[in-house]
Amino acid sequence: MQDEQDIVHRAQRGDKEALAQLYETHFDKVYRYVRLRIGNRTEAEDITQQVFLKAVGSISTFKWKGIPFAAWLFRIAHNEVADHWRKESKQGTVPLNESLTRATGSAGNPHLVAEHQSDIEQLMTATKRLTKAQREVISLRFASELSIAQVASVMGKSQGAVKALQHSAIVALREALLVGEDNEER
Amino acid sequence: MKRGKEDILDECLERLLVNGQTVEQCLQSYPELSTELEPLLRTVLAARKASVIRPCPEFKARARYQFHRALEELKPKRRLWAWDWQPRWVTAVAIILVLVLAGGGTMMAAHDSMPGHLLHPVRLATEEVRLALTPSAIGKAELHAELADKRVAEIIYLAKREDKAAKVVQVVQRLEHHLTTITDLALAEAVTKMDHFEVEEKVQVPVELTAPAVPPPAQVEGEAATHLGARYKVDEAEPLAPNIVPTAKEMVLLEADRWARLKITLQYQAVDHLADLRNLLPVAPESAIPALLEAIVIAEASYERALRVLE
Repeated sequence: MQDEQDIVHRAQRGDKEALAQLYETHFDKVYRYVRLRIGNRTEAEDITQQVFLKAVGSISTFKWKGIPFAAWLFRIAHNEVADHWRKESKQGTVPLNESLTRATGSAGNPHLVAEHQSDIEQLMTATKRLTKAQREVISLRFASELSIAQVASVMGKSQGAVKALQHSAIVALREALLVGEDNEER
Repeated sequence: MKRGKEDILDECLERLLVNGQTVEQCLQSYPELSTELEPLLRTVLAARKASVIRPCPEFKARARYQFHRALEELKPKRRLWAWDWQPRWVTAVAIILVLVLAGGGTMMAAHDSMPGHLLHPVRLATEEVRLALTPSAIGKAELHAELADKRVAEIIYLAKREDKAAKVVQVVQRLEHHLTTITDLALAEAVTKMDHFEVEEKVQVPVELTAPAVPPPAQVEGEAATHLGARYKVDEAEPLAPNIVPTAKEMVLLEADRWARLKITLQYQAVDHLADLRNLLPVAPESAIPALLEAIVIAEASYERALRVLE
């Protein structure tokens, strides 16, 4: 934590190396969060880039008050996703359920790639059956690996409320995954 | 205070995801809730596994380049003195002018100097000037490759001397800077091409750091190779006849050829540098070992990254 505090302080003073270090540490996790919330790959890419450009522009406003840097960064991501949904609802467009190419950690093995893509698609389809808050808690906790305290900070809720939401989200996710499996069998 | 199901589920998740325990170990602590807990924990494990979604390499490269470009546009908040306004290379030029006036011998001596020598800062300043006066991205990348080779020679020199081992860390940082800059320059080049061409989508494959099946670039022989660095000299592109002005297409091809040759140089450097650094471990003083290990990790990762971008 002390290390991260030092890096953030240097970044706030305009140290480009420190800013780049924060970028590398959090980029994949922010992308995963946005991707799971949005679904569409191209839009998730645009939003992820926006998150980091905004973070660079406003990092001087971040203050250490027991809130970890990741929570602050994901708060920006949360706001960007919320903005995205607001614009979508105004335009009346429906997110694309595009194929999830290249989204894998099983590079090089076509069988594993296909298998992993199928898992991701199942998860994305299942999360669409959850409420927005449930989907957010699943994305933050299990895709971006944030702690309960960090999730609470991002969502502006108490830790107790996040634990309750986490419980209901996992129950709902399990049911959604079972429904998906039933549909596949038919 | 009685704990709710939410708290117990969260405790099990911590044990499962953070402490690396198994579902069975968690359930043993709460046998009365095992029927209810087990499917939830397994759902989380499946969700965690499926959510390892990685951004595609092209997007990552593009995003990183744009982020670094945004950083370049960040301006320092205030500057007080006229001297501060000068770019580093202008300062370097000033130093070198003074030394040139003082005598060419000083410049020659600086060229061969090693970290810790009086004239070593002059050598570094000269390198800054060369970089500043090299206009093209490929030219800068080639020069950074040459300087990376010199940095490894410096690390070898320092790591063998007990009294100078502490300086290895600084040189490792410079080595990382050279290799990262090559990657950034190659990325910028790739992004420029992406603006014009549809890039084929491909799965990211790890690059193996092995020497290519083509002859190595020209090497500097003997003592200079081990002590002065710059073992590899990137070949100059075939010059066109002096009275022929190359067409735009020829210019593009010439530049592509230089990137291809730089890749081969880096492949050889990667193999040799890593071998050189690893060979030092048994003979280096203990105080130099942590920095040497760091140098190996940094060199391996940086060469792999640079070569992947140059693929």
